[in-house]
Amino acid sequence: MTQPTQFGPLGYRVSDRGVAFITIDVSDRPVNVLTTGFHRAVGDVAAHLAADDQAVGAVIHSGKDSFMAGGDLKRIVRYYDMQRSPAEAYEQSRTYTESLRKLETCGKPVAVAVNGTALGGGLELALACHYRVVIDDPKVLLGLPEVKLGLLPAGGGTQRLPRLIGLKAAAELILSGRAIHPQEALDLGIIDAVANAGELLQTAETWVLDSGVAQQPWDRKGFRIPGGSKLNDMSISRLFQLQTARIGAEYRHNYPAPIAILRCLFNGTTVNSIDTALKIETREFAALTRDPVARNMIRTLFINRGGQSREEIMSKQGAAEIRDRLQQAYIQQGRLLAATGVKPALIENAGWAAGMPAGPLSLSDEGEEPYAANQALEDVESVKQRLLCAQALAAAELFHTGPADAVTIDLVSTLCCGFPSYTGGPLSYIDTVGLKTFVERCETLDPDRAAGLEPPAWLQAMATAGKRFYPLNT
Amino acid sequence: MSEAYIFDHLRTPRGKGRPDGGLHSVSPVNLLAQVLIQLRDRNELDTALVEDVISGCGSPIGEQGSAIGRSACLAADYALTVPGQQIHRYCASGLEAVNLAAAKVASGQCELVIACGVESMSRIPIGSSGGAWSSDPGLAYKIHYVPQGVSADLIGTLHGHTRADVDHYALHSQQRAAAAWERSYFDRSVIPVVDELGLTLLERDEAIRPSTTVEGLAKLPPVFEAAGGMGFDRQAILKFPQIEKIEHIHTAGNSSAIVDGAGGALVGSAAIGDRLGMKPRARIVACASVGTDPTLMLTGPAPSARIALKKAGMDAADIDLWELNEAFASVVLLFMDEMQVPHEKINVNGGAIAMGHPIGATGVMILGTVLDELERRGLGTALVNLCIGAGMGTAAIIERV
Repeated sequence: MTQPTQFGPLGYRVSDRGVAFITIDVSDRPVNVLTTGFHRAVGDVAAHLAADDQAVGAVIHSGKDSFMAGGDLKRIVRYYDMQRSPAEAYEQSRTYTESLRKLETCGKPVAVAVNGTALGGGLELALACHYRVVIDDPKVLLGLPEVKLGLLPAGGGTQRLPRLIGLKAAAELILSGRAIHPQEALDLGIIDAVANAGELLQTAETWVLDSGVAQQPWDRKGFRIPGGSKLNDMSISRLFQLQTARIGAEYRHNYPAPIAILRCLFNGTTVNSIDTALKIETREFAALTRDPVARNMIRTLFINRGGQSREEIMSKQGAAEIRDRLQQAYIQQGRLLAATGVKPALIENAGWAAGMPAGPLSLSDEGEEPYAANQALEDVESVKQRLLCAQALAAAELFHTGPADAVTIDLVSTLCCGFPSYTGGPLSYIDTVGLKTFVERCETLDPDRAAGLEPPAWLQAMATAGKRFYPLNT
Repeated sequence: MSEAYIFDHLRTPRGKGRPDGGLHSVSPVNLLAQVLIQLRDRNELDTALVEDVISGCGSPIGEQGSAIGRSACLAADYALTVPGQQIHRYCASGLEAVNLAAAKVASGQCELVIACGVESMSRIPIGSSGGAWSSDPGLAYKIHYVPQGVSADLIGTLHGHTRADVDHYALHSQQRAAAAWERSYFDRSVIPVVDELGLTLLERDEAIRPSTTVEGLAKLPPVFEAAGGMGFDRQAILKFPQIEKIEHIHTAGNSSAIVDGAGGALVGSAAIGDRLGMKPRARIVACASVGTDPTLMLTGPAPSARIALKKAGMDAADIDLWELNEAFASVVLLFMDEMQVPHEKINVNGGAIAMGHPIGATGVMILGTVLDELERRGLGTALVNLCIGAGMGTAAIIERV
């Protein structure tokens, strides 16, 4: 073994047989997390490997008893509030994908030995290697769950996965964010082998020495995406049509990430060149970071939730009252709308379209509201906004009275009352719309003060003072 | 500016759009070439005088690719100097070919143009050429694309059409088409399609089911319910939230049949008619195309008809016969209601529900059908139009001369 070199969190040491062992060990963290330092280090170590005459290939592995399970959410949640320009967002999103591309094209065979769960950027690292062996343990999970954060895999996942297993299977996995076990990954063709703990490193090393190939299938001349990728193939047209409709139906046009993923899959595979495809992926990812939905989802569903179950959240003091007030406000607004002649079907569809699990009238247990004979075709956007604003105002009132803080109110609302997660919760919704705009919106929606949407004086004062419910960058 | 006239028209019979269909063994270029040959022979035409052959085609790829209008000229041994092209406005391509030909003639750019269309749906299925509006997630999502059958059901739901309404309409289409064939109304204009030996492969529309009954139609399953359930219904309801759910009423029995066929019309100026001793049969009075909501997709006929009427300085009451392509029964029911057209005046000899809709050809075929009927009845004016993919409508008004 030569003397080890360190590239940020990556250790580099070449064995006597010429295999460079690249050890991932992010210091000061119990698990390996994708930091910006890691993003850069991968590119640095790739350049070093390429130029190292002592090394015939490399094995990447973890120096911890786990592999690499996720991104640095505390960094990512700040992207929107950073208000980066499109060019900044693009440039800053290029680092990891360019590093992985350098690794993939360094000219030496690279194997990865995955000793534990690999999600998101951790799996993307593995996909950029020429050979993947994973520990044969049914508890280990492999997946690209970025859609659940309102994002997409930006380390080449949307492009390498379909080039390995075809568009249909890749779309299913990336759009659901589903994690699978090593055996399923092997069956699908995502990984090359499984091995038990004792043989993991050796299997990787043996591959490098005996059969190491330094080129990915998609970098070979004449490569075609398995199963096809062009629209003149009707099965491909159908796939995109159906997935588009499914995404529209499920997410109701409230979440930008799922359709961005489908666009990546489409645009990135209809061009054959992976370099072009990776640029497309980065552009779509960068655009998502400039949208508040990812921030709202990450903050509420992950950071603030902190692993609490619904039961744990509901058992907190005041949670039941939050739930009841919000539901009351929702139902009440629905009934008010019906009483003024808005068609019940439109009210229910507006609730659903706004992201609620059910329309307000179906939740009302007071029987059918007699609706006016002259049914107006109210603009559905206004109805959606009224249904959300009514709940937001109820939440604001709870915040004002206390003792529940904004985080608790939003957690209970989203995780237990069905308030849509793209908003991050009713108070986050007000922040996202902007307090000033929210106040104006309430006044526009309820000019006669008949629908209970009058914004309270304290909220107006807060708006005037430029305050927010959530401090910036949280 | 001069006027554009229709001197002649003809069409092949429509073969079932399946491998066992009567025209499946004929390549699309051959099908179209037979139309061109018959137009030439019946009119003793010196083809060197034809200045363009404009062909509609809905899936212009593979054997239907590369400007099939020109390929058909070569296959039909037209003079080498005759250029050809292929145009695309989905289901109205055949009528758009006529409208473009009329514009070329009326503007003085050309004197004699053949407007035609061809579609072999048994060989090149609908949708084969892909397309962004339905299949590029970037666009399809934004416009809430749904397949045309779901659009038809959406229209039915919005306008209160029942399953019985559309099935009864379908029954009439079948009965009228069968009666028209029975009475030889189509004999003049339908040319038999022949094989390599010159033997007849098909001489009558073979998709018609003369023994159709309402009871039989009622048993057919709603074809677009499954697709609707995969997300398309909800995509539609996001745009039309006033409806609770889409009632899926369209079936194989009350939607246009999938068929193979070709048709063409000889369009020219009065001057060329005089020179060649050809008597014009009708004048093309006005043409129009318009865009409408792409999710509803099939609501283009009424607006396109209104625009054409306005250009012609006419009212709906001035039209003697209407010919609206029967893509789906609800399309026609809606149009009859919007334009106040009685059923006795529209699609009087049946339509695509019975005879089939060979996408790129239908427009010119139904123009010919209604012209024949104007002549048979001694009537004056007709309006021909079609609903179209991506939300459009194309119309033409003709007047017998």
